[in-house]
Amino acid sequence: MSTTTFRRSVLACMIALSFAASLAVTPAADAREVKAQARGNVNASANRSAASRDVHRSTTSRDVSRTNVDVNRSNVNVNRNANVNVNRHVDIDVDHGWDNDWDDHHHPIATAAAVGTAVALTSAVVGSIVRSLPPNCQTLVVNGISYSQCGGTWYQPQYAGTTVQYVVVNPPR
Amino acid sequence: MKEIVRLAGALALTTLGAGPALAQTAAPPSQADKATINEKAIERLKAMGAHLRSLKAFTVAAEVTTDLVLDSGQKIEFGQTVEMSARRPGMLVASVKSPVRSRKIYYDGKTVTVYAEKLGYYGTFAAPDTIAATLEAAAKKYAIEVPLADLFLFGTDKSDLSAITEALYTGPQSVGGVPCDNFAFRQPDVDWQVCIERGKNALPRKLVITSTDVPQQPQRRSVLTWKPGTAPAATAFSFKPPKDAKRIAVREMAS
Repeated sequence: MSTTTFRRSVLACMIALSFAASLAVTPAADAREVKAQARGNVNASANRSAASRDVHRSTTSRDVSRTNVDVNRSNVNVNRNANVNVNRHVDIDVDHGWDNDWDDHHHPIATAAAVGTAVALTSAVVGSIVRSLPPNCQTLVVNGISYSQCGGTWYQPQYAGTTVQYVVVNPPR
Repeated sequence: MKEIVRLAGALALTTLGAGPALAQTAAPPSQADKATINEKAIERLKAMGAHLRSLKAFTVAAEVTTDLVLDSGQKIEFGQTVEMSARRPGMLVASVKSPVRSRKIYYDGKTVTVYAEKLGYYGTFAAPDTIAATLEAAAKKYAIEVPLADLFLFGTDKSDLSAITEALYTGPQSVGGVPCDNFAFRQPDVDWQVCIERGKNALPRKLVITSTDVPQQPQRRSVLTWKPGTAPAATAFSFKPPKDAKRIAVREMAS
């Protein structure tokens, strides 16, 4: 083993350990305690990694307003499908990202992001579901049920999990 | 190489001043690769469950961070604040807050309400008469994951200790200034760690859940602050819709 490799290993361990605190602690009280060893290297600084990976690079063409994300499991003991695909815009305009609800009707970015699914404002397919509404909708209650009317298209909001989504419906009257 | 790793470990611990392990760095290497169930870890987990069961009323706050995995594979961490109060057997109120999304969940022993304050929408469904059964129904039937649901499931038959394939004690930590012992468990699709307060107040201080069925292994980390014995009056667990709040349906998930 070369000196360089050795140094790097020590460094890797120290870095990994400073993150994963006591993974390598081996108290003698129980000989079967921790046997884990630091395997992966953890980059301590996002800005110190290879020069080609400058995180501050700004390339507007790479902006993605809407990305599929996996939500991980939130509890150990409740069994469910661990992966829920959620459409969520992750690249948020800093001027509009604060104090809005992701499901907010009037969220400008959410509106833009919804184009993929709500593309046909004039001929939205009944039964299709969108996560946010186009602008200029009004909320109406018909026969005790809440609707959002956006131009000629009617949406009925509903909870899917804790997310409010909007189902395109036939006009209720 | 192993020796060097161990040496480096000792070195790092010395540097960090965290080293009860210093005298024991020469642990026998022979047992290194067996799957391990440390019975003491299981016992402490059970003791924590029993202690949680014994709390008749409590309020707990948590800073929760959750990894989201983008299609590109990049992990993004989101943070939110959870506050939860419970009265046994059948009352729970939880709020999840972040600047971009807030929800409140009410359970008064009969009905669960999900309320999105900024949107003004609430939805309800009829619920079983205990918190644990309600949490299960919410997750399975409606895909509503109540944050920190595990707090109500540890120490009950909903917590399946037989699923645990490995159990480790990874040493003491400090969470918010409170000394706790950290335990690491593995079971199918999930690795998890819990840091349990020392002494008779055996409360979970930190819970880290890693989904191992996703290649990027996203994590959810909850750091807890406890106020045992503190919970609002019973009336606070029933949702009273504000005047302009609108009721909408809660969709049942196909099972």
